[in-house]
This record gives sequence, structure tokens and C-alpha cells, in this order.
Amino acid sequence: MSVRVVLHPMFYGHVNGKDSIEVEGKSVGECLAALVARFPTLKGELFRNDGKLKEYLEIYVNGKSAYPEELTCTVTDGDEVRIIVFAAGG
Amino acid sequence: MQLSEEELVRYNRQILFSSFGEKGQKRLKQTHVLIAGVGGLGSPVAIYLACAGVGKLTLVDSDSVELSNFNRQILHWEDDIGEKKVFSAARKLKKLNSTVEINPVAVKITPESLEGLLEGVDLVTDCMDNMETRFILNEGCIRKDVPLIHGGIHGLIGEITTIIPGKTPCFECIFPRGAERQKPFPVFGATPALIASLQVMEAIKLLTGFGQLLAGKMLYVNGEDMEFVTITLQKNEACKICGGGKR
Repeated sequence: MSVRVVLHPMFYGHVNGKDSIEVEGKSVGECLAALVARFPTLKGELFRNDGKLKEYLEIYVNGKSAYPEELTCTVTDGDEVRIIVFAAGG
Repeated sequence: MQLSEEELVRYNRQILFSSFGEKGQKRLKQTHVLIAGVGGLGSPVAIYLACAGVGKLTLVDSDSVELSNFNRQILHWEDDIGEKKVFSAARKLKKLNSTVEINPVAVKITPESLEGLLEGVDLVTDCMDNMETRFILNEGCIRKDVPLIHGGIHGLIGEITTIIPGKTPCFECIFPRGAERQKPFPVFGATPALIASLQVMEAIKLLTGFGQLLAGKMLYVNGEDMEFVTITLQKNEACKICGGGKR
């Protein structure tokens, strides 16, 4: 089962410049775990020390926000998980 | 409303743009834009809106000028340290274009203060540096049916979208987690300059009615890799602020 994780431009440097990565997983959490397993430097960008998502991230599945159950949101073959970063500075 | 001979000369280069023309210039002269935040984004937004001939600019910011502002906040100079940013900015903007009415307001944006600030405003540009105020702006604009052009930056990355009440996803739809990033944030001056320029392009198009807007879309700019990515945003039917664009 393949899910495409589309990354925010801020993370391209952690995945060899790619804008998306194909991973296996039945939930957003599993997909992100698979992503981090391949690209370990992403862990600190995506997750807090307690394992929860960083506050400034939004997760969209097939174009719709997965809030508030982002990590347990189920995904199936061909789905797209998009990671969005909120750039709060001004 | 007629344009004076001087205005026809001053704005000649943009009047030459056929989709805009004298009609667009006259319309711009009648508009009132509120610039929320006069820092890295707000400085160039204010400069280019003043240059373009927007009739009235209300500048809202409660902060004072500090040394650490100078790598990006180009309306504030060394002699201005300690002065409220809105007054520092207003002084230069009046010299840049004396025909534009500048209304500096040195208050913190709260739900209560915003209520009165939005009276008679055609458009708000979100040039803030924190999440909390952006949500206040969003809710106020949705309630008052005022378009909001959001800009945000971090390092060499920036984002921009145009929120039109009743039509597009609102800020709450896009960022339902409502989180804050740590401050101070890293930034090069060129990043807010770029995003601010895009905000002004959106503002001029929206106010005068031509071109395509970033309505329901978010443009991300990654200056480190020189990539521009636009994604389509979805309304959140359960949004507590706009009800998925229903109000």
C-alpha cells in the first residue's frame, strides 16, 4: 500500500531535495514514521519530544485537513498526505 | 472622481497597464487599506501601496522601533529607535506620497480594538508576526466581510493567500490547530520584501478588479531552493469562524 507524502518546501533539504516521498502505512502516523525511518533528520522537524506533531504543522489528507486526529487518520493506497508548515513571522 | 494632471503623471507607468488604466487608478484613490503590522512585511506593503496611490492607509502596530528590526523593516531607520513604528512609518510615507492619507494607530490588535478599526476599510493586509493576532484579524474580517491578504515568513520561506469572506477558506480553515512558532524567528530581509510585494499585487488586483487572485490557494516560496509551489486550499465545513465559507 503506497501513500504519497507531499512535503512543505522547508523540508526538501531533509529528503535530498525531493518534494514528495512514497511510503507504506495505514494511518498518517504510520506514514510519517516510515518517512522518518528513511530520513531521520526529519524527526526533529515533525515531532516534539513527547511524540506529538510540532505545533506549527498542519496535515492534509487528499486536500482536507486531518485535524484534530491527524496521526490516527486512516489512509489507503493512492492517498496523498500533505505536510503544511505555518510560517508565522512577519 | 477625477485624477489631477500631477496624478496622471505620477501614476503614468501603471495607468499604461491596460487592465488597470485610469479607471483602476481612480478606484485605487477611493480605497482604504488597513495594514496590520508595520514590520518586515508591513514596511514594503505600506511603501508600495502608498506609491501605487491607495487613498487611505491605516497603519496598526503597538511596537516601538528596535535595533534588531533593521535587517528587514525598511521603513524604520537608526534615528527612529524607541519611536512607535506607526509614527516612524507614517512620517516617511507622507514624504513618499503626500497625496495619500496616512492614519497611524499605535494600539494592540484585539477583538475589541479591531471592531472600530475595520470601519470603512476595503481590505486588510495581514503583516503580523504572531499567530494569535492573525486569528483575531481573520475572525474580525469574516464578521465584517472584509477581504484579508495573509502573508507569513520564516527564514527564506514565505507564504501568501487571499481570504475572501463567504467565498474562500478562512485562516481558521487552513490552520485549525492554531499553533504558535517560537520567537524570535530567523529571517532575511529579502523574504518579507518578496512576500510583501506579492501581497501588494494581490491588493491592487482585488481593489480594482482584474487578474487572478490567490483566493483559495496558498503560494509557498522557498528562497533557499528557489521553488514556488501553489496548493489548493479546502474549506472546513466545521470551521467555527466561517462555517466553511457560509458566513
